[in-house]
Amino acid sequence: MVSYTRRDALRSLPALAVGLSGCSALSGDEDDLPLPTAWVADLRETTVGVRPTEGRVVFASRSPFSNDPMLSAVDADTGETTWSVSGPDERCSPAATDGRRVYVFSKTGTVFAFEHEGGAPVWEASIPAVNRADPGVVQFAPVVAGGTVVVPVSGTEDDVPDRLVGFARSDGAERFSVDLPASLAGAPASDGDGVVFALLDGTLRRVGADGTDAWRLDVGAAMSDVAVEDGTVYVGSATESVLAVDAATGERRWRADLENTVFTRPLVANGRVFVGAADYYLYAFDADSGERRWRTETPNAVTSGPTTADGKLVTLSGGDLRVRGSSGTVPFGPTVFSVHDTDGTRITERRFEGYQSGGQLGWAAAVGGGVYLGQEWQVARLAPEVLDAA
Amino acid sequence: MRRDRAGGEKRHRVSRRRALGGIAALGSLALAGCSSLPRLGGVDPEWRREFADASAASPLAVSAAHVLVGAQDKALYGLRRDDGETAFRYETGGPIEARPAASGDDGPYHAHSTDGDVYAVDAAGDLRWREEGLHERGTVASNGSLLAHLDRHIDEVRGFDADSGERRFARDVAGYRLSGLLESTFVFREAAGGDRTRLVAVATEDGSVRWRTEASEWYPGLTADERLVVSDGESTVRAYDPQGGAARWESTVDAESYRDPTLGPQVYLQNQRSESADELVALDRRDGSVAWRNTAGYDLRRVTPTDDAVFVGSRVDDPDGGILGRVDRFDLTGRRQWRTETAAPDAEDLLAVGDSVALSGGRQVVVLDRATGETRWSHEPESYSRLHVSAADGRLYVSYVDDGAVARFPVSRS
Repeated sequence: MVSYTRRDALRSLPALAVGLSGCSALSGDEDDLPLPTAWVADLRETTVGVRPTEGRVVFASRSPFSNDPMLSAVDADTGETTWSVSGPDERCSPAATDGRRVYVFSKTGTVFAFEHEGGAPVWEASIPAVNRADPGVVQFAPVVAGGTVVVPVSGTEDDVPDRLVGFARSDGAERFSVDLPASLAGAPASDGDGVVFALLDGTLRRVGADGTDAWRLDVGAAMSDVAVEDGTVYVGSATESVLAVDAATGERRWRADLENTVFTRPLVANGRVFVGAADYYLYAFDADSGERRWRTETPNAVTSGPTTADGKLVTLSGGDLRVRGSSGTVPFGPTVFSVHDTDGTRITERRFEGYQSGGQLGWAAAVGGGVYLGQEWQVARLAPEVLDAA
Repeated sequence: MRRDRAGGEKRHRVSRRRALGGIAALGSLALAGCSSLPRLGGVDPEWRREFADASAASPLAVSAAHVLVGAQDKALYGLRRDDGETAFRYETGGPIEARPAASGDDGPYHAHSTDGDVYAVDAAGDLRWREEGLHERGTVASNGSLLAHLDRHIDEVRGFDADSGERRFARDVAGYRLSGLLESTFVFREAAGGDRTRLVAVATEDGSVRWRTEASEWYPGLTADERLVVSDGESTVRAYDPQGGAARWESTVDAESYRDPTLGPQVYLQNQRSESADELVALDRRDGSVAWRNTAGYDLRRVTPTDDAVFVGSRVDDPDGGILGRVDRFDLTGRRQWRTETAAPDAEDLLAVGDSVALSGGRQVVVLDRATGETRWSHEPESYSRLHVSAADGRLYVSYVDDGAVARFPVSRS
């Protein structure tokens, strides 16, 4: 049972009190961030936010404590929490949205749907044999495919049956459960009416929104998070390559060489596929042919991004990443935030050195028009000038 | 005066470890004066290299011409031994975290990169060959013409021609060390079904099996040199001829459990005892008879034989809390010649180098006089970096794993 709290304008009262103390009005600590911020908010152990509507970003929290809201909807301009939902004493997945609702999966084995407007609960559903699993079981967000919300249940310790479970978006009725022969290698993606996902057994697979098995492709090694755009699947692989695959048939369209594996989701934009790899390079490929257009060096393995804001590419290299499988590694340092133009020109590079009062850096991402940083104990929206050349 | 949160005075206690370190540092500094260089407890490094774009460095290997070290910036570095200048830099697809290997005085040099691949480069840094792989965790070792690569994810060891990269064999392995690699024979543990393991010896030239032991349910300790292979377990120690596998001797030793034995002028077993201090047991190489037994600290960690002595690194309790690394020197009759409790917080590695003995405690190095056990100097970097040490030609080479740096220090009086 979740406790539903709605915050309103009265919230400005405690904010004002904090403001008097000389800190950020939102209590976060920006003093030692090497980047200018628009606001900093006390949101703990967040995952990359989603933006169901203009003006609001919803963050889920991996914190296992119910004192830390499971979901927080934040005003993108001010950083103020407009609503939050406290969940059970357990970790939860990143959030997913279909623009109307927000979906999240708790390690208690409960799937939740909330209205994005106000955070009212819509439905709950249960998945058995999850609560004793390792925290990795909620590593990946649910995926919206047609009228179905597909929940990826896949840990890293062989302590939970790996499966995809589909629920009706309308009422949470279970539609299917598909057992998987291996753990997920990365985050799945929707192709509109199905889900494409990569497994640690080296296969790339698709199931339809009804759970039927569509196709599988033997890639031969673990893969990255999956991206799907215009009927094509893009995925990086520990075979030191990036692949483009027909989403309808599973046939390979092209393969391009890298020098190491990929952890993050490729970004498809304006006829290009941008890939941040573990070989310390950010790549751009032609989306149709796979021809490499450019590559530029990064200081560490790319662990967040690329994502895009204002036509720029945002990445984080280094940082805290749960690597799945046996390929690639992320050294402890350096941790570096970067912005590149789409021609590969580096615009911004900021290193995070020493102790950060907001805790270890977990992710950096463009969400909507804003660029956000997630640390252990806070989220910051960066000032717009980080996207501008110095 | 510091005060605790309750407002009372907090007594400042100096631990035994700090006192030991302070004495060594004070003595050294008094002798050496000040220096702007990073100093090893008052001893100036002959050179120090920091890799500008690398936050970490691998353990290092030393060839006749080069110091070989991998780094977080994806590169294998060959540094000139005499001045630390870069002789070559070869970039791979991922950070290099495992110790490189050298086949011959001037290469080829080999490295396992976390991109999964094995690279062989020559002394100029040009790629000789590359074997692609998938897995981040792996190690390499070389001897003669063979380069052995252990894929630690699938427990497979592969043999390659060190010069050409031609694959000679691939075999399943049980364990994570390549300590049995000899000139013409490679001895290692292999899985024999279920929980059973055995030793297997293969020819380095083609991987053909020279000999195998019977499978057993105990996991045998293993050590080898060109004249003897020794395994131990369950109170039984067996010695084999490296080439043909003929049993040389079998000895029953009253002991509880072992780490891998060590070969020197004698065979050294580490008897790990649960109710009392560990014991070093020395056996005669010729027949396996017990030559002597003696204790050091409560937990033996390293055994380093020389022609006329054996040095033992062990752990002892710091009376002020924590652990200290201790070094003992025994002669070949088992007589303890000296013992020194050092400032190091552990005994992870022990090297005999020149007229000194160097003990690495993980994040601290202590150098002792080889003849007397007197502490010469010790060093704990301000960065608190983990340290890996190697020795060659009477010098100590230190890899600052968490700093991305390498330094060379003199240890001998001359």
